[in-house]
Amino acid sequence: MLEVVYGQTRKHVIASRVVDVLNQAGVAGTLYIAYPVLATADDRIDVDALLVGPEHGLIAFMFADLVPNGGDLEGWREIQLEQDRLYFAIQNNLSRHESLRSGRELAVKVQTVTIFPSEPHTPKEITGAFLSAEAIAGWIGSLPPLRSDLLRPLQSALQRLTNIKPIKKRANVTRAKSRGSILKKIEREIANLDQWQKRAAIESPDGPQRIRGLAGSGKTVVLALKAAYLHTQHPDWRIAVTFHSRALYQQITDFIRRFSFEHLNDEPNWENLRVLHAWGGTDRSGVYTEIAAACEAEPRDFLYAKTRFGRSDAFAGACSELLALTSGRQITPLYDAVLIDEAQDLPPSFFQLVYRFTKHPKRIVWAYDELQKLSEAAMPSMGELFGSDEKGEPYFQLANPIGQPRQDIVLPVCYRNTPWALTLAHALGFGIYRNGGLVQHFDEPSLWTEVGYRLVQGQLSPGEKVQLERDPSSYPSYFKDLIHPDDAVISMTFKNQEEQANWVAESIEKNLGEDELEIDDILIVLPDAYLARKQAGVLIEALLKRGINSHLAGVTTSRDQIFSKTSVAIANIHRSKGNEAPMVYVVNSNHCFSGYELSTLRNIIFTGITRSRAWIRVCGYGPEMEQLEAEIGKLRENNFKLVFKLPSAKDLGKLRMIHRERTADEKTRIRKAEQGLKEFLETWQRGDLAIENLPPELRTRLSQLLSSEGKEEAEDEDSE
Amino acid sequence: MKTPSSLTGEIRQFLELLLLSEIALYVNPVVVRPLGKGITRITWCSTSGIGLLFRRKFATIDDYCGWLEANAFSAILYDGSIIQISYDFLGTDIIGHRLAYYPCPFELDRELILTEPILDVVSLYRGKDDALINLRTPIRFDYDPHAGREGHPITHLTILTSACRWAVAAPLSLGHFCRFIFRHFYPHLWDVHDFLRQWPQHLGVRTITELDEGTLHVACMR
Repeated sequence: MLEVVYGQTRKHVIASRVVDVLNQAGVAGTLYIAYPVLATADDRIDVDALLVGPEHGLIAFMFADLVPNGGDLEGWREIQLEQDRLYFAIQNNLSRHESLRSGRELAVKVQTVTIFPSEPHTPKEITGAFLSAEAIAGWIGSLPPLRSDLLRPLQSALQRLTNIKPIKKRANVTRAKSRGSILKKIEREIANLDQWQKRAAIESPDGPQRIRGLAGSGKTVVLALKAAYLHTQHPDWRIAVTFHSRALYQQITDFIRRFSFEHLNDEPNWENLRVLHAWGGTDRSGVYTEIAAACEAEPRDFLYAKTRFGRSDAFAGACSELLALTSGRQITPLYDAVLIDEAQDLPPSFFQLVYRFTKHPKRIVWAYDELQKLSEAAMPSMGELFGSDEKGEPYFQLANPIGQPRQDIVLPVCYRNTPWALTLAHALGFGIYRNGGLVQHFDEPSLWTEVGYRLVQGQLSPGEKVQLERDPSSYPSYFKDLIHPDDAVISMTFKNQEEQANWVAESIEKNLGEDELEIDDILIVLPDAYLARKQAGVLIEALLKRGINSHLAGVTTSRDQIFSKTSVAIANIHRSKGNEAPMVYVVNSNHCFSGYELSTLRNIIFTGITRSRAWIRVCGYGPEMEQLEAEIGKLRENNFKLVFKLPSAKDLGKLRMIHRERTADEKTRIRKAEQGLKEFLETWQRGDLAIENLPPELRTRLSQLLSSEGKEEAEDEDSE
Repeated sequence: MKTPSSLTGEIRQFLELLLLSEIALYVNPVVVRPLGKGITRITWCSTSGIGLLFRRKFATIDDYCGWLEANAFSAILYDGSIIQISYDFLGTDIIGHRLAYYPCPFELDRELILTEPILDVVSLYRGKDDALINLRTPIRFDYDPHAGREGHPITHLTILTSACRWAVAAPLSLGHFCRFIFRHFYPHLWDVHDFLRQWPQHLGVRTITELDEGTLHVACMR
């Protein structure tokens, strides 16, 4: 079977003709249309198509627009020269891989061919393969097969938009079965992109494209590589890669730079390939601030927008304001392509702004995972994202037409998490085993299979009872070979924070000792961003007592690297996003069991758990943790299967009302607050309550509220 | 008599109370570091941040941000101001201290600094609107017997410029520093928190010279 990966090409007609011919001939392998550009010492080489397969090895194609006249020997010589350049570029590129060499020679025979729109008559002075599309099948049939042991290393070399991360040496590992040793094996496997990621990175339709995938499925890598790929194909395009968490800036820049050096031996042109925060600030521009500058509008900063629109709607408000300002005005689009990561965290008005300022045919790619959304609003529809016509029909509908790049991609394999951790994250995130019932659910039940679950029992229809488990094809097999589920997931309930901190510190001491983990293999996640600074102290002290340094990431700046070589990283949930570690401790998980805006709380624990690359420890204290642990217990009893009734459309509506929409909850809270304040004032006025009777933090808050700092200063000035 | 261990405990307890009462947003752990020749330093533990201290001009916004970037502080207060507490011991004798208060140069959004990294919040204010800058000087009480000379009293208070050193009669205890800062700059907290008002004071042996005693200086009877 022929797998076709559709990249960005202008030579559509000839490319589709080649695909048809290869399909008809039953050629097996992978055909990359418009393979990423290759660089030689002094030139860049476009590869119109690359075919790799067991029966014929490696063939690089050039697509010519015209057949030169038989007498035009110069024209033919130029074509031959181009083929030679292509040959040497590939030869040089592959020679770097030891696994593809045999002695001093390249073990893979590189074939090159130029395909013409019609049968060429090649002059006898010219050597090489020059064919029409129709003649390919016969020619390929005459090629020698590839040595079977070379196929895998060859594919891996070609997918070498790869080496996503430098592999750790782990020189301290001495025991064969230690956690450090297990990680060493896992890390050897994970360094390459898989076929899904590779396809998603290269496939680029002339229009919008959506990429969905669970945490750890490689969305950020795919977007970064896609941006770099588009940039190498179209150096003159103005491309923006944008995101919500500022922490991603460095990660995305690094990916792009690595890819660019691998292919072009050079830095990308950062003037045209822009890595931009969605908003931007005074120190660095963002998509919003660039657009505002282009419209000669004053860019709004967070302080303004927060005051004007409220904290949670600040960015949405700023974008809407700019949209309104540009509405009906003649504008000049700024970008040829925009790639948006963490789309779940960005408001529809931002998408509409991007849509307006991206050139036709609106190459906007957005990647998201709804369950990592740390706010309440549901993921907007296509109409809300890019607008609708008068009839309410969205301007865009996504489709995956045969023979063309896909517009809607789901990355089904989760590399980061063990299947048990991921199932746990879904069980707690959705509230599958929660006593009060589900907290939230996908709008489409079929998404379960798309994100890598296998239906064990039942039907994926609303109202049906189902049993789901991770499909073995949705995670790398090494997890089952190397890690036992009992050790992959451990949950603990403690009496209080101190007891919890001691256990975490003791476990980490063991991790760093007999487990042979390194200090930056460990991450402690604090779910409550408001209390994280207060709660981190207990953990830091407990670790320090055992001689282990630790730090709370992002106290002073978000630009700090979260991990350190000398200190265990502790991070609140927002700082944890986009990061991962082999051993993750989610502490104070009780915070996520119940409360106001429950779907956000459950998304927080989902996000925390999915930071783990091998082992997850879910800890907490008090009765709420006991109940959360009971949910985890039920998952274990069911052998890490999700057994539950799929919600009907009506149930889904109810879930949104209860756990997402704020109005009812907010009203109750305000009523309670009013009542509390009334009681407080009455008690105070009766003299039954002195400030000394209040807990210290309430004293501080009250004194700040009643503080007359400003007034005193004004009075002093008056008296001078 | 204070020992390194008892003073470490005292500072730790003080910082814990600041955190518990939400006066501090964040406190760094207290650590004891051997400096060699029998000297130990009780100071803040800065395990993150750039770790390098570039000297910046005293009483500038860069100066304030520099300490934060280096994670060199004992506590960040709820308004973004920072406190540094550090003592040096030779055996059981206190032979140096640095007690500093760096007021936040901006009136930061209180809700934002609860969750966002403080320098990220500061960056929203920097260079934007000079009208929002609070002109407040850092206050630093240093005790350094080796550095004593004319114009550089052994114990002194630095304010406004790095060369402005007011003589202080004797080395100060944590209680003195705490009272000075909270009574004068946070009267509303001073009023409601008895631990601030009652933190014990122990004045060290007088270090002030006759010459300095004859000019305006800082002194305390207890």
